Amino acid sequence: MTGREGLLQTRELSIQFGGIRAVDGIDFSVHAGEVVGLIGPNGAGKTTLLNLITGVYKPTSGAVFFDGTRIDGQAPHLIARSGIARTFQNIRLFQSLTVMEHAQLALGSASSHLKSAFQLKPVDYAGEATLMGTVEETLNRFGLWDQRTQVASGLSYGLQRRLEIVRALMLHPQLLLLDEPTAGMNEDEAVEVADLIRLLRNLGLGILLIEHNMPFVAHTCDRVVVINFGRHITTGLPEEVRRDPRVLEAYLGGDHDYS
Amino acid sequence: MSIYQVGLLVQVCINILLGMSVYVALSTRQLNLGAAGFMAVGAYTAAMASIAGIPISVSLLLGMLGAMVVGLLIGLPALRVSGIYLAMATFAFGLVMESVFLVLPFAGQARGLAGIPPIEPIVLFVWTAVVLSGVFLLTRTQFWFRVRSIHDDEFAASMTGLNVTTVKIAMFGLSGALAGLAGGMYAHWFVYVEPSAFSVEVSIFAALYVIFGGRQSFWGPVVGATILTLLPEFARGLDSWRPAFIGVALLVILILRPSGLIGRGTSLLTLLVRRVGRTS
Amino acid sequence: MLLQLIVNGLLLGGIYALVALAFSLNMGILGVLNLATPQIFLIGALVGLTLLNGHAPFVFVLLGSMAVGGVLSLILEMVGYRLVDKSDIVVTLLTTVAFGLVLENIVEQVWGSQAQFFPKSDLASKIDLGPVNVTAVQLLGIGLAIVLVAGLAATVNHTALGRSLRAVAQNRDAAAILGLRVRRAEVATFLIAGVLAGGAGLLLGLNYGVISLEFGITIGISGIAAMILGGVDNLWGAVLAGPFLGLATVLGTSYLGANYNNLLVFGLLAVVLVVRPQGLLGSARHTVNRRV
Repeated sequence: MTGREGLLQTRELSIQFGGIRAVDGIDFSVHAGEVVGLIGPNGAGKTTLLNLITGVYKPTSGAVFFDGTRIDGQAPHLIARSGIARTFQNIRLFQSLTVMEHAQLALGSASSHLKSAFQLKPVDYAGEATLMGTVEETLNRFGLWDQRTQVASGLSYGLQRRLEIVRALMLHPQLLLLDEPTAGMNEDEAVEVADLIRLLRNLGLGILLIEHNMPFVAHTCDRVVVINFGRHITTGLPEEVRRDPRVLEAYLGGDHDYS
Repeated sequence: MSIYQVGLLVQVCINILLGMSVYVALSTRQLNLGAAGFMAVGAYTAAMASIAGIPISVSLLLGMLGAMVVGLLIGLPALRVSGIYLAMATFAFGLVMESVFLVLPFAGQARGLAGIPPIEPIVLFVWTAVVLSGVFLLTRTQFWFRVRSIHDDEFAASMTGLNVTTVKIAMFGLSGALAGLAGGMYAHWFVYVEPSAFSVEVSIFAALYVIFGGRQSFWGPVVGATILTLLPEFARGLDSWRPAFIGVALLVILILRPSGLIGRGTSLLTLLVRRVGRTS
Repeated sequence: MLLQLIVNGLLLGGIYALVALAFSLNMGILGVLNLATPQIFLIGALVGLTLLNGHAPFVFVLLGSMAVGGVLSLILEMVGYRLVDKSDIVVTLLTTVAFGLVLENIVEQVWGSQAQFFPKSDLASKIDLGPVNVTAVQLLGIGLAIVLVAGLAATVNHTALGRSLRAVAQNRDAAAILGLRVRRAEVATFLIAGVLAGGAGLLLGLNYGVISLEFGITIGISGIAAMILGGVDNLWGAVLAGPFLGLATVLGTSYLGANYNNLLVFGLLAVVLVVRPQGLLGSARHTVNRRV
């Protein structure tokens, strides 16, 4: 597939578990300053694809390129440090750490373990620079500043989802992978997330978004990639994809209303 | 202080170190049931060094280093397994070490090693204080957040840019080192070591100290080891029922307060202050 | 001579198989490493000894040992296992340890801490079978092991209880949702494991003429080793690994001495746990089970 090389580029990416090809020859790209939606029925391979990109799985064939460099098979923590951050389908926060500790952990993750072993605790991270201003400004924008000394397990669901995104942002990513960020949210909360995504896009991030909320996808994504059974079905503008009979067929029997 | 009381305090120090050994590994969700094995490495290494004429403190250091190296070596394959399998593997390791020292010709085999130069109690206490302070400070660093994040969610921790592998192996090394120091101290206090001193019971009790005292705080193993070591002293009449007493106490803790006596946010000082506040 | 060793090894292996099964039931079905098993094993033997000294008929002695084992295991289930956080391996493990400590203390107080000797009986007289000789006890041991294993297999494969045991082993929550009686399965697991351990203890005491706590712990460790070698979730693995390990132990001790033998066995165990934790016959999925 020719064309402008993306910030993220996959080439014939495949992975096989036993006899099952969870991801089968997928080519797609995400460019800087672009929001790409990744949709498909449950079990289509979306999260597996994310895991391949972030180094959790090593592909059985194909490659992943980030900013021109091949990254497939690299250790996840190195991929994270090189500029790819993600959130998770099921919230995976550090339940015993506070909001502030999440932020400073992610911010400081690039420093060596040895160095961190000699940095005694209260270090004021509030003024550290992040993508969206200082840590304090970022937390404020997400409504987490007042809760900064609250442990993650004590936060409401909505705040936990936001903290996941904050933690990802603290890694100074160029590429952000969001796995169902609006799951369990009401419409107002989803709108906030949509605004945030648009803001990040305008800051120059590339964003890959897995979502089941179709109006949300239509509202926020520049392009949509559809996969099913690990295979690429089609790519296009949200309105085009919505009307594509192959996409409707893939979802037949599911609970998605395409009216 | 009588020699008996000093001996008791020495035992408390040794047990705190053993508990701390399990604690640091457990902080990354690695249950080390082979503390006795590392203790044996430290004990024999330090003993042989001292017998060869090396000053005691240097021997203790060598014992710690030897046990740390073994810990690092074990730490690598340990990454392949988790949960109860890791616990069983470390348990097997402990058994292996006991057998190793039963067959090694230069380690005295079943007869053990005698003639180890004795250590001054004050030296032992200073060593304990220094090393424990080091561990305490470690739990106050940015690094310890990494440890805790790995404990809470290893997968997410690696996605947050942390090299989980390095930290887990390092904690195993530290676990070994602490148990190794306990072993070295044991050797120089009792001036005699033999393989049966490093039995399964020792490893199990090391884990008990942490679970009983609290596994979410540095003070947990300190309190746990202290209480369980000194318990018989304050319950003279219960002497013949000591194991059962410990068993019941442990059961109660496991049922009612599984995180241990000392919870997370409670620093020892706060506990003491609260206690004092309540009685006045 | 070698033949005799082989026979002895196989018969010791029968006992190992029973103990391994006891461990395997708890581990495979509930994900619990029950470290009170050696003590239950020991008390089974001691109760049997007491009954023997009271000239009880042998069947009664055997049933007594097994019953005591079962009852103790049930108490552990009700007082320990049931009340704690089962998803935490550290907690469940140390719950069994705590219970074991209590049992150990009881043994010390009731029977004393020295080794206990079994009375000479006709059962211990040697029967000449050509190049080898066996005692009636050894034959009884292997026979009983076979019967118990067959009974267990029948239960697991052909009864409703067995089905719930297998379901819980696979996925506890799913089993609960499907309406299977998970509680009953948990209780049954502990009960059966205790019965096996108690019976095995008696057999060991009769076979070797002596029983002690150290003995109990040694057998316990061998039982765990057999469980792991055979595959934690595979009951037949335990049955096969038992005799294998028994053979290895007897031959190894004979040719290498007890210490080198232990070194080899424990070393092998450590390696297997790291390289192939599911054992020789177990399925890999069990090692990625969230329960363990």
